[in-house]
Amino acid sequence: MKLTRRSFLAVTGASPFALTRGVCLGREGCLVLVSGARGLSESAAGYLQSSGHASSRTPMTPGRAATVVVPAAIIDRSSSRRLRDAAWSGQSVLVEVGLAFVDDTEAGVQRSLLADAFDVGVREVVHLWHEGRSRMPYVRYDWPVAAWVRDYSRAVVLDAPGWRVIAEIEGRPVAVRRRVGRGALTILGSPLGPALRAGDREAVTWFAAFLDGAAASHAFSG
Amino acid sequence: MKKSIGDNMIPQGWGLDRGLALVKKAGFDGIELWLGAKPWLQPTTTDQQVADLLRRVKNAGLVVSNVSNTFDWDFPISSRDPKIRDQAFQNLERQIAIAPMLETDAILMVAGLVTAEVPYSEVYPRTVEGVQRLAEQAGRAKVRIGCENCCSEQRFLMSPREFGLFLDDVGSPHVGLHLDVGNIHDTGFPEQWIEMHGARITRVHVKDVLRHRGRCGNESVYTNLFLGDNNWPAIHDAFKKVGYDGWLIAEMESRYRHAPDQQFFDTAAAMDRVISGSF
Repeated sequence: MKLTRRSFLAVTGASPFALTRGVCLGREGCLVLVSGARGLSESAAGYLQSSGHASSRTPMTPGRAATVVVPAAIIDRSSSRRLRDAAWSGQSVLVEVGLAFVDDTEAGVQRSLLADAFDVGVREVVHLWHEGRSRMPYVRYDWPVAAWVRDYSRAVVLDAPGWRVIAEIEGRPVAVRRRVGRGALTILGSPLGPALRAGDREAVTWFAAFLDGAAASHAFSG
Repeated sequence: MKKSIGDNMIPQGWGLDRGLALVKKAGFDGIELWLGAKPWLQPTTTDQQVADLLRRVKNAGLVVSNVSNTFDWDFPISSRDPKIRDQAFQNLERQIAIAPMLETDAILMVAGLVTAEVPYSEVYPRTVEGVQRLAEQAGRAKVRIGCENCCSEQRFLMSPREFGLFLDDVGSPHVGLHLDVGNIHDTGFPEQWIEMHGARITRVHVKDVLRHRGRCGNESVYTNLFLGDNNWPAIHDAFKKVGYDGWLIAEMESRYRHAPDQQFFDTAAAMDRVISGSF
């Protein structure tokens, strides 16, 4: 993914989301915020590709976006609060947890931020691929559409009482969602972005349905 | 998913009706008919004889899963020789015409053959143009052409991405992939082909493969299900992922030396396990 210095500064300067590396605008109604666990930049590229980033010409203020996506999120306290506020005010916020791809210290920080800001616990980080494994570790989504997506490598198993589990992997919850104020929060424990970048049909279908649902809710909530 | 097996597997010396009875008794739902393999389906077989063939298949309690052909290796549409190409189109056009008569909507072809004489750079455009031509007829006949991945034997379209680009270039909804999960050898993983091609898969050939053996002399690289290196649980899961619910067609290269009919029963039972995913 290429970001010019000019567009990087223009967008980050205008954004209330002080994330690690910057902000990119996707297609109308979808804002992809680039934070980024190291080594997972392709996750952001996947979301940008699937949200029509290349065709975007008009800068959009984050407050007008129906959907806010944070790929491979490494967030700070301020960002997590702003994301929660964005959901309260009617936006659909999708946070792809990036803590499985950072060092233990950073992972600990991210765990406590998830718990404090979103009331979502991390049960464990599982390494799903190993030699001799015979079954594919597919993430099985049942919302907003049914989809099987090949897991990227490591998944964060979530512990989120009161949230709706929208995806499991081998019986373990790895994606959850709940209404928050006028909007909604969706937390993904298994990276979807790399599958989007690879053109996985089910992943693309899932994300398109997610965006469509968010756009419809946003329009309805005014 | 439904189970089928090729009529070319019917033991030597068995007639059609005896063979069909065996296929049914072994638990298959359908039969793959190979144009050119057995006396009951040849290019010279008349429409009336094709109708009679369908009647006999139905009388046995079976349906035709698809029509394949034995000619593409000797008469490839990618040949330099126009006479060979004409013969190839004649065979394939007859195959397309026969399919609806047999109440099936799928045919198999081996699209393109790279050899020492006919290089890849020539085979590709010739094959794309040839398949586009056939696709028009297939569309009129409401038949889908499944181009089989005979990767290492064809020396053509070796990877799933390459195959996808080929199908993009052909650009017809009447053309897809007849996936053979045994043909990928050590150049890839069939479950990844399934994931990448999904709805473009017209039919699936099943057999197992001994990756380490390669093709050497007369020793076959292919073997019966579960004896080779294919990851059948992964293949099962990939079919589930992409929602493939069509035909699985047994295509065994090796034959039982004794009790050849037993291979039908063993293969059907193994395919049941693949379909159910009980491993």
